[in-house]
Amino acid sequence: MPLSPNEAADALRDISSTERRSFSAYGYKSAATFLILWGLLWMVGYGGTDLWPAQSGNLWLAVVVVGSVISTILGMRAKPKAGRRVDWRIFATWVSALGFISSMLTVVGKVDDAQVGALIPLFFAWIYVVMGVWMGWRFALAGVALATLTLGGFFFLHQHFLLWMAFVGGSTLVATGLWLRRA
Amino acid sequence: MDQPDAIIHQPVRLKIMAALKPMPQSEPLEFVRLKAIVGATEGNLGAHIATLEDARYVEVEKDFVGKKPRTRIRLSKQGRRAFDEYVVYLRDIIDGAAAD
Repeated sequence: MPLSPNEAADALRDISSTERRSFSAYGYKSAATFLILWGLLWMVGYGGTDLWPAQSGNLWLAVVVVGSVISTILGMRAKPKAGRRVDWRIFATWVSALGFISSMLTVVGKVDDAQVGALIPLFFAWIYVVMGVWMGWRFALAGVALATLTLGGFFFLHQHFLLWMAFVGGSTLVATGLWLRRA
Repeated sequence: MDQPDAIIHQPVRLKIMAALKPMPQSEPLEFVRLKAIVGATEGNLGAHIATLEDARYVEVEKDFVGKKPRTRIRLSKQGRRAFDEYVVYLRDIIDGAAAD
């Protein structure tokens, strides 16, 4: 028996909401591993900067290069074996983010380690919020949490900000990754 | 299409197809995740997946991750085409009603 227009509209609504849920779940699963990886790298980067401030530039360069290479490999491994190849878009994403952040800091001029250490997480927090608007509310919540912790540490624990970001910021990213993996 | 595709024209199977559709490059979706998205019981979901597999609309892969069994489901090309046609069928009904 053919469907009535109302039944057809209901079916299309069902399809649309199921597709949205599936799209969000796929986004969460894809992002989870990267968040865990970068949470651990943050711990190394921020913790190292607090211990050896003179080496912060080299340390962060190493963290970003290692993180970008591992992210690219993880991105490739997430694809089915048949279609697996070097996905230059993942590497290009990291390189463009690095280029943007470097340009921004060059324009801003002289900033201390804590200011750099706050600006970069705030940039990524904003990206998570935007992803949350388009892909799933959990990203937005992660972005708001990251921004709140970053600003809170910067203004209220300035003396220990780098350690705060190493342990609280890093572990928040790891915990968010685990949370998204189970979503 | 005068009549809806009888295989897809069932609420749970329609949701299964809709959940698999957004997967890029026909990547598979794990059974556990599909169950959460569709909101069906394990037995019910398994039965409907079997119907879709018999119609060659989905492909089922079973393997082990460590010692844990894992079932993954992907949309076949035939299934993607059938689902697209079903969506067109639904839109035609609404467009037809609006034109009357």
